[in-house]
Amino acid sequence: MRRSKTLEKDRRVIEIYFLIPPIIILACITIYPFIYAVVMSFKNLIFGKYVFVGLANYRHLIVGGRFAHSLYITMVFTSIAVVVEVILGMLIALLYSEELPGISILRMLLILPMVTTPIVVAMVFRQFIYPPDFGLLNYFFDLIRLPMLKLKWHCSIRTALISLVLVDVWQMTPFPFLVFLAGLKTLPKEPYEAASIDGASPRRKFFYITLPLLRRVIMVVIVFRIIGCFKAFDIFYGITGGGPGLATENLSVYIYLQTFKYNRIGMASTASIVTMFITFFLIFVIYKGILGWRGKS
Amino acid sequence: MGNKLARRVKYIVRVILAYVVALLFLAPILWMVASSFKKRIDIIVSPPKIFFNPTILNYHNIFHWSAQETKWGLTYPILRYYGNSLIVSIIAIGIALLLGIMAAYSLSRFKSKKREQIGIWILSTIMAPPIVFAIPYFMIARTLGLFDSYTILIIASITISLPFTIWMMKSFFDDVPKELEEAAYIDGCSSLQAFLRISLPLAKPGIAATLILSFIIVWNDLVFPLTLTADRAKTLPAAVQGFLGWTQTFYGMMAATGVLAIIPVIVIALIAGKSLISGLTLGAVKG
Repeated sequence: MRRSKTLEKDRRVIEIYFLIPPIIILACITIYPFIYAVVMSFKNLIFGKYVFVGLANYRHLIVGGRFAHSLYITMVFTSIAVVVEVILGMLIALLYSEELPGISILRMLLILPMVTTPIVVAMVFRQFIYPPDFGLLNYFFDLIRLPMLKLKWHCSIRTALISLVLVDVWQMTPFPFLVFLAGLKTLPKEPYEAASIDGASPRRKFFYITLPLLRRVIMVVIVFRIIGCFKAFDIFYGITGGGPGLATENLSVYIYLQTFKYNRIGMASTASIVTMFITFFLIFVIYKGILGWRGKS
Repeated sequence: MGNKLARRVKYIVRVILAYVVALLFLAPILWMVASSFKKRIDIIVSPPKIFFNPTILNYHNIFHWSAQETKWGLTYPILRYYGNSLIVSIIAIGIALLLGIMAAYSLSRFKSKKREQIGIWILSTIMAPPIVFAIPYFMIARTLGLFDSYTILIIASITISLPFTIWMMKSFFDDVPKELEEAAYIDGCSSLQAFLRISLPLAKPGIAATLILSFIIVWNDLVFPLTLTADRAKTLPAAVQGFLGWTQTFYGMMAATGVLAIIPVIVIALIAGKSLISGLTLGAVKG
């Protein structure tokens, strides 16, 4: 009896003392800036002083329309990029799941875009791949005789956002690819054998066996990529900086420009707070969605 | 017979396709490496030159510029930026690893409603765009006089690396069977001993994967160095775009800096690829 009591006390060391210090530090470095931003969102710089202005910033944020536009850009970017990355990642995973000569090296090499520094990627695309006159991409389309695809890429309002989606697809498709590849390896063999006996075509096997079995993995990958695209800043800042016009100004770039270009800290803080609440909302949807979905199966 | 031929053709098409895909994904990186060895005249040329006379002039210039002020009035202490990147990444991931392992172990071993809420809070700090933290940090740094110092950059970097470490390590500790620890208690181990002697060694692959991933994340981070530093504590990613001048762009030197910036992460990815992949796919496949 006494032994179990000391054991109980002993376990509390892990339960409490292991958790408290990290949580306090994390709270200090995340909640303090958050509170600071909340306070700043009620203030504005007027004649060199931060003056309390009430809800003026929030009103301006909603009425102004520029924030809403940046939210719209974020959503468009995220939805296109996630769909393309997941589909492309699945196709490449299927291609690479078979044993081909040198395939293990190829699998390894395909990680590289993902670990490459995003701002370096942005500079490479901006300076060496996309330039309409001497860029690699337009030269490539020349080579394969598709001159109608020779666009102005990041320099034109109409193609700027798609150019950024393309960069994200190039960089992050390896993630769905890797996860799907690992997922394909864990699949049981029996359903496929049974389907082969029934004479199912490879396509039917994919849609009726592989996809349902990988449903959970696909969900998780989609969630991860939504988070990644929602946070995207580096390639936006590096390639277009929000331009041309407002064509590629997403949430992060909006906040950045409000602070460092227009010197409107109040507006930037307000936008940060609203972005934070959008994040909470997204977490809530994702968490409930996945949990609810888990409960069902 | 015809069936066999068709299968053979299919196989060859697969092989070619696999290599073309790999080439497409590597092309921009290879192109940057090639451009870093080109003279300016070989870079701004249409059609682009695949074959050219390589030169190390760009690399020479970078290190030369770091030594003295040049005729453009531009100094570019790349070695210092490199050192800054290393110092900030190593300290930030070290602190995050120490604290993260503790929190992750506790969260993994004891479950309750409150702990679940802590989990959601950690998840939301992972999910929030880092710029949301960068703006208040910028203001705080200015009022405290910490702008452009290691301290503020490391603290800010921990806001990325600590939640990530907790979240990664928790799923690794979830995999360590509880029965082993219970066996250790029966043999008279305290819970601290059980943690140090059993769970921690068993989670070693997880620690390796977490270390690698968080190093890559912190090394690659742009938001905090961009907003919180000007020169003294500037890191390499924030310095890459320094060659984007108002009057002219130093293409070759930019490519060379880019190559230098990605060497550490690429080398790590190639050496520890297995560990990296296990870390990346862990959450998704097992969940």
